[in-house]
Amino acid sequence: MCRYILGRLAQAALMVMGLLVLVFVLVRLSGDPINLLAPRDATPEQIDEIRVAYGLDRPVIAQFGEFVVDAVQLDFGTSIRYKQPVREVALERMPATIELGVAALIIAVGLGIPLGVLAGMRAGSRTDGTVRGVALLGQTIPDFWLSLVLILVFAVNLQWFPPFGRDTFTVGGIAIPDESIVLPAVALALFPMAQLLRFTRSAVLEVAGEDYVRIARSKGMPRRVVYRRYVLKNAMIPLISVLSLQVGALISGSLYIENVFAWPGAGGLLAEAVSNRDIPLVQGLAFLGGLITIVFSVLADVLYTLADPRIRLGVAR
Amino acid sequence: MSAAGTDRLLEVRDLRVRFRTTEGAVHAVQGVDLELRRGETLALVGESGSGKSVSMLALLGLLPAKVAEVSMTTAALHGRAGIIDLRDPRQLRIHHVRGREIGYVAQDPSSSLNPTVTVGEQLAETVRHHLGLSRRAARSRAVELLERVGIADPAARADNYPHEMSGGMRQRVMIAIAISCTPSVLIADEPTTALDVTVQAQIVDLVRDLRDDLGLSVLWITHDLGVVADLADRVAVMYGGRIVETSPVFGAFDRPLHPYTIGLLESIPRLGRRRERLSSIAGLPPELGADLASCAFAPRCGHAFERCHAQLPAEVATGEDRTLACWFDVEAGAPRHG
Amino acid sequence: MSAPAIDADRGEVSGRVSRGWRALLRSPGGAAGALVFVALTSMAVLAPLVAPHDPLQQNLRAANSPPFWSDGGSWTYALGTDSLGRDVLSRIIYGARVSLAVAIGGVAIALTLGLVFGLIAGYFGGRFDRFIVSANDLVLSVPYTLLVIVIAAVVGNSLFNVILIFGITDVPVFLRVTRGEVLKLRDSTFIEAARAVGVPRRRILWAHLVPNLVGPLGTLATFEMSSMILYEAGLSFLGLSVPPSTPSWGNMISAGRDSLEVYPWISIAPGVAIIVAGLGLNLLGDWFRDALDPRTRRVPR
Repeated sequence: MCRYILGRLAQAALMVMGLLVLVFVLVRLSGDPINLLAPRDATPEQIDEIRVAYGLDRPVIAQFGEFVVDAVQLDFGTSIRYKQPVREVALERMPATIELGVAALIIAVGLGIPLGVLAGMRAGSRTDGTVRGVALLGQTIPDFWLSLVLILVFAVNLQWFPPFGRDTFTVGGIAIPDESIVLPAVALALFPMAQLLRFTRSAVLEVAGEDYVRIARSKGMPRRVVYRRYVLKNAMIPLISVLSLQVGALISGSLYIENVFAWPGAGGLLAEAVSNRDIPLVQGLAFLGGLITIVFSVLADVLYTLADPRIRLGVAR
Repeated sequence: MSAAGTDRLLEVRDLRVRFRTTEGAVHAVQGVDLELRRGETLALVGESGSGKSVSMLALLGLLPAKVAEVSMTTAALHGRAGIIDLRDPRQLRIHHVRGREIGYVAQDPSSSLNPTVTVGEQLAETVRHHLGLSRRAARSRAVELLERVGIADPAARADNYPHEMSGGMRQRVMIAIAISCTPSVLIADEPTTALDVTVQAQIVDLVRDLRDDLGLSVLWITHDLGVVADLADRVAVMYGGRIVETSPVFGAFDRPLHPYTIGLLESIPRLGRRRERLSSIAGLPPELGADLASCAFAPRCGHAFERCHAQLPAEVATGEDRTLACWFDVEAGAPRHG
Repeated sequence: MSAPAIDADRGEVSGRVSRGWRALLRSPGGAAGALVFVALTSMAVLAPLVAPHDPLQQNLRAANSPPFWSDGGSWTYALGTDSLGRDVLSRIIYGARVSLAVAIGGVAIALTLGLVFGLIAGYFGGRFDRFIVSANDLVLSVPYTLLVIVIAAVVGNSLFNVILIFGITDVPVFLRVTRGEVLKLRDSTFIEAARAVGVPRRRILWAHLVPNLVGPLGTLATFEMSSMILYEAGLSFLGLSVPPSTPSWGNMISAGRDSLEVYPWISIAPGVAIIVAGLGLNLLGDWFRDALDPRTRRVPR
């Protein structure tokens, strides 16, 4: 077991390394990165300073080495627009994204899994068809467009929620977002919910067709017990992996959702940075995003091995 | 059929199963009559696709309604409290037919147990549900049962997960589950096919032991004639979704009456016989589930004549507690009269 | 897979394809999907003929006219106009060009590269395989949007760049499927049997791999086209795709943001186009999967 975790961590470390290479290479794709790393209005002297600061006058390998060392300390240089270290700017906006992500995840799980179970149990029925239709819509509706529609209907016309921004109320010194989180969370939850729904449905379907489910019925176990202990318990295991995928979807989605709702999170920051060609910031945020995804992927794998007794205890003869 | 009425434990008449598939209807079982008498062991013999497993699943109501159309004129279990109509789902539920009156052992022990629940718990939940035992009582009963089926160190084993056990042990667990509520009937669907030969013998011995001990009536499905000779009192031979011959075991081996049964027996290789080629039944098994109005075996039968290809042979009693569905009299070497 | 099954597959591909046409007409989802795809393609190709107006033509006097079903609207500008008086309907029709070009171009590149590298990885195995798989997994481990956006931010705005970006970043999925099929075939006992009889390995792979790849890759291609339309719209929305002078569904939605409360159709209409295109391709993909992949054949309801 320990060996597995260590192995997985080593693999993750390699992935992080690969991520660094990727980010490093991407920025240099279009030639001399100095154009991307320096503000447009910089004087030639300033450009030279920046060139030295980023080590661009050094050989590529040395540059990469320094890049890695810096990256480990989360030092990605200075944001062109904000004139502050990327790390500061990024970390300042993180909490808001985490809030939104958690809220969206709760919605996605709360809707996606039960609906998926429902559809799986009633496969082939009209309920199943309807639920699958909903899932399909969830995967084809652009989240940024839906955000606009939600704003139009619920914020402008019905006035139930604010159209943008993050408003909070304070409880015990901590600022907690109020109903301004609802619309963005719903929009962000759309795609993960649809995915969770589909995966849950097929997991349930697959398990429901297994021999041991039929044997359970053959020994007279009542339907409810069979569903709970035999179908659901086994179907939930592969879902752990799927949940980790959702983190990636949430990160991606936050880019657009935060942008449209002016939610002060890291996703919106990245969208803004990209529009402004603020490459140091883009670099830093992209790396962070990739890093978080890898971390959750490792976490999911470890949890999976813990949850499935077949893997946890090793397969016998 | 000379058995007295009270001897009949399980009675099935005209069982038919039809599957709906994208390629049309598959008639897996086409009018099967079965009778299991109290205390007897009936072997149901047939090759893959003959419909034997499907019959049992249909009887127990385990075929999903969306996929399978099941019909039976009679399906009666003479249970402790009277006659139970197995076609009625309500009665199945109320009388705890599945699991308490009828125990079922499936073929593949590697996929028949829930991989995420311990073996002991899978036993305990059965007795808790059917016999209303408390958790503690159920747990000790589970350990008892594991011991009864020959598993060493039962208390420790009860906390194992299925994948931590060998195939043979898992099958013992399945048997333990099947007999846990002392049923009157045990239906075993090829329980030894997926096991090593040495383990097979052990399982057969175990079942025989339990049968004698608990007074079980056993319906044993197999394609292994050796097991039939070893364990069974009577045998029913299935082909193409129908029963073609039933007979007390010795009669069947001594004097087989149906050409298919004869072919089966002949194809068993025997030591000491000098032969260059193994004998086998010519031709291929029938197309799965075609709805024939004639004898399914006719294309492969050496004795087939016009009537065989034109009319479905009716099942008739031929004396000595035997039935036969064939237009040909192999002993006389000529078509039957009537 | 046993030999008869694969042999049957081989001869059956042509049979399957012709049966496929008939099945397509019978299945409502598949027919709808095919219709959408045809409509989309026609719109894109025949845009100059189909569009009622020049998408770039500004008409400030008719700016922000509503669609024909609202008062103030007319059939001249059926879906209304935007803030510069450009006809929304015509811009949507021309926008289909961008979406379709990205979808088809991107999938074509991804499919080709994925197929080639998947074959190499599966066939040669060893170090090639390990390297390719690691690179593949790495790209897959990064959230797709993140990857695409970063690249788009660095290279410039152009349709060609976008197609290239999507084409290359989507290689991993195609690679994985191809490699999976090659491995499955390579490890099947039927291959051992054929080799034992003397059939050269290359011929086996060629004769049996292709029919087995058509189904999964065709299905995947259809679904990926749907995804690419969605992702391209996202990029356009952020201004990272085609230059703003070229109408694309995404940048139309973005342009309509400021006037959302008063002139909602400017943003809403292109979104509906995206949804319809996506739905259609998804349904087509579903049908593909059911028709060409015998393994997922189901019992009817």
